[in-house]
Amino acid sequence: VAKETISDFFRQKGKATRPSTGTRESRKQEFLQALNKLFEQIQGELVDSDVEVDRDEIDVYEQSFGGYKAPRLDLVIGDEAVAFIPKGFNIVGAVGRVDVKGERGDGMLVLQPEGRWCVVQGTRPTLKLIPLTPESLLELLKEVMRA
Amino acid sequence: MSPAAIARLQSARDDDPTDVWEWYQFQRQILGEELSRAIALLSNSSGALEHRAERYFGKSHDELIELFAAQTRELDLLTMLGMLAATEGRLQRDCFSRVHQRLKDAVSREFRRANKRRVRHRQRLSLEEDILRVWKDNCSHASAKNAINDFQSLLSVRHWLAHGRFWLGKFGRGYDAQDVHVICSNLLQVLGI
Repeated sequence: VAKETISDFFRQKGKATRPSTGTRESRKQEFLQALNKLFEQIQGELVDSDVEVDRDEIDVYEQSFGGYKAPRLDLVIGDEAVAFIPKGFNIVGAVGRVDVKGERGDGMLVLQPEGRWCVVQGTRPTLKLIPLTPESLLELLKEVMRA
Repeated sequence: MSPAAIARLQSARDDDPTDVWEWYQFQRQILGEELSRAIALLSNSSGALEHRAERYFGKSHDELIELFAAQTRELDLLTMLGMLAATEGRLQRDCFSRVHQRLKDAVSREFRRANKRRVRHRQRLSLEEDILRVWKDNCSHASAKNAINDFQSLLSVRHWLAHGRFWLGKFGRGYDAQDVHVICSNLLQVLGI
């Protein structure tokens, strides 16, 4: 039996922990597509409002997957802003996450494997997710924005 | 010393810094295993999480690492306090037994003298002013003096931890649990306690 070397050990470990290029790329593309859909959905809800919508790109870095550019969305209402910032797709219990940062607090949207965005209403004592709808988006905005 | 106090000291627990250190290793291993389990959840893209794993929901790789680093930092600090307290306990019990058994060596005689002074003023023997001082004055080996000096340098960390870390701790060198284990074990070994 051949003796295991340090290089063998690290090669095995790398194989076990590093996702293949195909997996990396397909997960990233699914996340980016879902992000664009999400932001279009949110913008669609704001058609008849006075909200200023800014779309921009940010650099996201994820361990084992590397860096990539992803869209972000900012809503500006008067002197107040809410940012929808992508966190990544290598997330526990989800295939994507967007942090919602307001002036009064933060919220979180997660992408479920079936491609549905949900609002995280809490993780303790039990996990509570509700599907993203115009109503749940409104509740989320009320929570993170100034009263 | 009153008979009740003597009985209390004689029946006291005999903690040792090495016991605390072994407990710490066990906790570190459990934390490491739990971190591996949490990291493995990242590659499970089915979205199904068992109830126990829900505490990690929504966390990224970096956030998991940071969460476990914070747990380890806290465990390190509590372990340091535990080892320092166990070492102090060993030094105090050794001193008590030397005073109580009226041993004839120089250290024991000095402890009895210090104890008499303290009893007159209704005080207890002090770790720093009596026990460590007597040992330092009565040890001839440089290694023993160095071991005592190293332990004395750690006392500022001990006070900071024991008093709820309510001030910004500034210590000449950054100590971790392993440093504290080495210093405490070395002290007890060179003093033969």
